[in-house]
Amino acid sequence: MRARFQAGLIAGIFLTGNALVGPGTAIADTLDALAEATAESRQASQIVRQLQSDPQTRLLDVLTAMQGKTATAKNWYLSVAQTVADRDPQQARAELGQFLTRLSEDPDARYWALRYITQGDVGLREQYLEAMLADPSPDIRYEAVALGLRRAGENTELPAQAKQQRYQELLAAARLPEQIREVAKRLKDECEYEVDLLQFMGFVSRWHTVGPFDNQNQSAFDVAYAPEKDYAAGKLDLDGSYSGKTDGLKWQLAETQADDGAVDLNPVYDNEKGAIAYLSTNFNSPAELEGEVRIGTPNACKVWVNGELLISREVYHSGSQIDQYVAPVKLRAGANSILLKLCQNEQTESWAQDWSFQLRFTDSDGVAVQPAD
Amino acid sequence: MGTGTWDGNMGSRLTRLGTYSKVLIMADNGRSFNPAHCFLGLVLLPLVQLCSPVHADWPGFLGPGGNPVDARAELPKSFSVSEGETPATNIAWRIPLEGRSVSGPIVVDGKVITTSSSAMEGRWIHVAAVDAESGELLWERSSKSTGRPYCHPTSANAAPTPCSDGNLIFAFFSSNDLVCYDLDGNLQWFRSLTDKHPLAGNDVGMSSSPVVTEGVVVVMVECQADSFTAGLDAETGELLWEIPRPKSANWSSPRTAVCEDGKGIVVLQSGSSLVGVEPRSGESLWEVDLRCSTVASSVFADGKLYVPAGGLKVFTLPGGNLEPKMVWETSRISPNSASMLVSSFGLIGLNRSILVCCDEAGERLWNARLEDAGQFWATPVIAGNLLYAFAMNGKCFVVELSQDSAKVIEECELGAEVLGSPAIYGNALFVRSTDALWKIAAN
Repeated sequence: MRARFQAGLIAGIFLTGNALVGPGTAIADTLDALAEATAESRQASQIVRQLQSDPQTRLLDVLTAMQGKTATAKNWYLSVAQTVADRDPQQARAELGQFLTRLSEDPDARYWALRYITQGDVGLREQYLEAMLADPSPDIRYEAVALGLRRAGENTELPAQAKQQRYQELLAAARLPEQIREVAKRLKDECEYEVDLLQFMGFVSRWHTVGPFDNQNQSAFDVAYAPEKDYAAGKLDLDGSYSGKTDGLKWQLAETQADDGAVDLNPVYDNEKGAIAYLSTNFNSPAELEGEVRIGTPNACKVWVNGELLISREVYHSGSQIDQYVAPVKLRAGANSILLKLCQNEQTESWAQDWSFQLRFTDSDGVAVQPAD
Repeated sequence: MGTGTWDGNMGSRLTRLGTYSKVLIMADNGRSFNPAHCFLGLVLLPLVQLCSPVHADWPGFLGPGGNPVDARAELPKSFSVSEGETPATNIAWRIPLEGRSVSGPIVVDGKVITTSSSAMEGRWIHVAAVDAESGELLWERSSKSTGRPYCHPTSANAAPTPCSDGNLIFAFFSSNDLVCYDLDGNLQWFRSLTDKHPLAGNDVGMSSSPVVTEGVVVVMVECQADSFTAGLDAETGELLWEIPRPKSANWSSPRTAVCEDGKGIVVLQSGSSLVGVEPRSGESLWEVDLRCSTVASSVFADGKLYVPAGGLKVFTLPGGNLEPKMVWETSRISPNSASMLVSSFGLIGLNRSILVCCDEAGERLWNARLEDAGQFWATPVIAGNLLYAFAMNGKCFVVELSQDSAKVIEECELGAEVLGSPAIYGNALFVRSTDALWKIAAN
C-alpha cells in the first residue's frame, strides 16, 4: 500500500511538478519517495526542489529519513538538509546539537550535523570530539582519534604511564589502518611499548602457494588453472602436483612476519613476470559471523572464501594499501577455506615490480577478527 | 563588481553567447523549443553584454574556450604573502577551506566555485561558492563519496576541476561522483557513476575534468578495470550515452572543439587514439590511432586542435565523419603534466620546468628555464603579456612575454601547495592551494 502510494506520489510530482507535500506524514512520505526516485535523477530532482522550497520541510525529518538508505540516496537527503539548515543556521545548530546525541541515527547524517554545528569553529569541534572517541560514526571516530593523537603528541608534560594509557585507548578506538599504525608507532617511539601489528590487525600470515602459471600479456586473469578448478570442486590437494610454466609444480609454504602483513611472492618465485600464483589457507573463525574480507595488493587478484568468489579486480600496479578491496563475507564457526589468485604482469618500471598482498577479516565495524587458534 | 572592467573581447563574448544560446535551445531536451526565446537570446544577450561592464566567466578546466589565455586581463607583476611586520602585497584575500583540493577554481557570474575533499580517506566531498569580490563564503555543500576515494598522497579526491554552462555547476570527483548545483547551491541532481560501474576507479587517483557542451556533461572515467566515457543531460543528470574506452589509466580531460563545418564535437584522447564524439548522441565520428598523452590535455584554439602526443601534433577538423588532418608537428613542445597554451606570442608548453615557445611552423622562438621550480601540475595562464606558472611548491613564476623572447621577472612565493590550474576573472587571478582559495589582484 505504501509502495503504491509512493509510486503515485512520484507520478504526481513528475506530471504536475507539484509534490503532494504538507506537514507530518505527507512530508515523511515525500522523503520516502525521494529514496525510491534517486535511481532516476529527473524524478528525484523534482522531489528535491519541492522539499528545498517547502517551508514545511523540517531539518530533523530529512536527517532521520537517511537511516537505511543507499549511499547515493543519502546524498540527495544531505543536500536538502543543507538548504533547509541554511534558512536559519542558528535554529539549525540548536536542532542538530540534539540530533547528534541520538547515536542510533544514520552515521553520515550525524557526521554532517557535527560539521554544520562546528563550521568555522575549531575549538567547538574539538570540544565535541573529546567525548566522541567511541562514536558509532566512523568519520566522527576517525576525527576523535586524530585529535587524541595530536593532543597527546603536543602534551610534553604527560607522565609516561598516562601517555601509554592514552595511546592504548586510541589504539582500541582506531579503525583505519593508517591510524592504527600511527598509534602503534607512537607507543613504540614514546612509550617503548611494542604492539604486535601482525596479530592486532588480524592479518592472515600463513599460506600455501603454488605456481607460477602463465600470464603473459595479462591474458590469464579469467583462465581457471587446475588449482582453481580443484578448489571449485572441493578437492584441493596440498600434496598435489600441477603443470604451469613448468611441470611438477608443488604447493609450498609462504609466511610473513611483516607488521603490515604483506606476503611477498617475489622471493618465492624468483621475481617471475607474466605469472600467476595461487594461495590457499584455512581461517579458523571463533564464531559464525557476518564481517568483511579485506585485501591490499598492487596485483590483479581474485579471492574466494568457502567456495564463493568475493573479490575480483583486474588492476595492475595502480596504487596499493591495506584494506584496499573490501567485500562482505559470512564466516562459519571453525574452518573457512580461502583461495587467492594473484597475478603479476610484465611491466618493467621500478615501481611495478611488487607481487604481494595482505589479507585479513574484520567485523562490519572494522575490528579485526582474531582466529580461534 | 567594484573592479569591473569593460570587456571588449569579442571572442570571449561570442563564446559566452554560443554557450548560453545553446543552453536556451537545449535546456528542455527540445521538448518545448521556442524559436522566439532563441531569437531573444541571440539579440538581447549581446546587447546586454555590450552595455554592461562584464567579467568573462572562467567556466571550466583551461578557461573559456579551453585555452587559458586572457589577452585583456591586467594582473599585478608580483605578489607576496605577509611576513612578520611586512604586509601582503597584491593579495586581495585568502580564505581557508576545509579538506584538500588539487582541482582548479572556476568563476561564474561573480562566484568562485571550488571543490575539496576531507575526513577519513577523503570520502567527504565539498563544493563551495565564494564571492569573487569580497571573498565571502556564500555557500558550501557536502556529499559523501559513493566510489573509491583513494589516491596518491600528492593528489585528492577533489582533483577534477568543475565546469559550468553559466547556470549550473557540475562537480566531478575521483570517486566518480558527479553532482550538479545551481548558482545558489540548490542541488539539481547527484549521480554515482559507481552504482553502474563498481569496478571503475584508480587508486592513484582519477583527475579528468568534465566538460559541458550543448546541454551535455561529458565525463571520462578511464582506468584498467572498467573504462568508459559518458554523456549526461545537464539539466536532469540522466544518462544520454556511454561508450567503452581503452582499459588503461588516463588522467587527461575531454575537450570541446568546433569543426570547419561549424559543428561542435567532444575530443577524447588516450594512450592509443584520438576520438571525435558527437556530444548529444555519443556517436564516434572518427578515430585516429595516436599515442596521446594520458596526463596533459589537448587545447583547441584558432580552429586547430593541439594534441600532446610524443611532442605536439596539430590538427584541423574538417567536420562530419572526416578524420582530422595533421597540419604539422614538433617534438620541441612536449607537455608532460601541464597543458599547453596558444597565444599571440606563440605556442607555449611546459616541458618539465622549461617553458618552450614555438611559432605556427613548429620553429622554436625561445626557451625559458624556471629555476628550482620542482614539479608542475597546474597549467600556466597568460594575462596580457604576462604568464603565471605555479609550481607545486607554491612558487609562482611571472614571465614577461614578447614576440621573440621571454623573461622571468618575478618569483613569488605563496607558501602553499598548488596543483590546480588558476583562473582569471576580470583583473584578478584566483588560485586554489590545497588548503585555501586566493585572490591575487593589484592593491
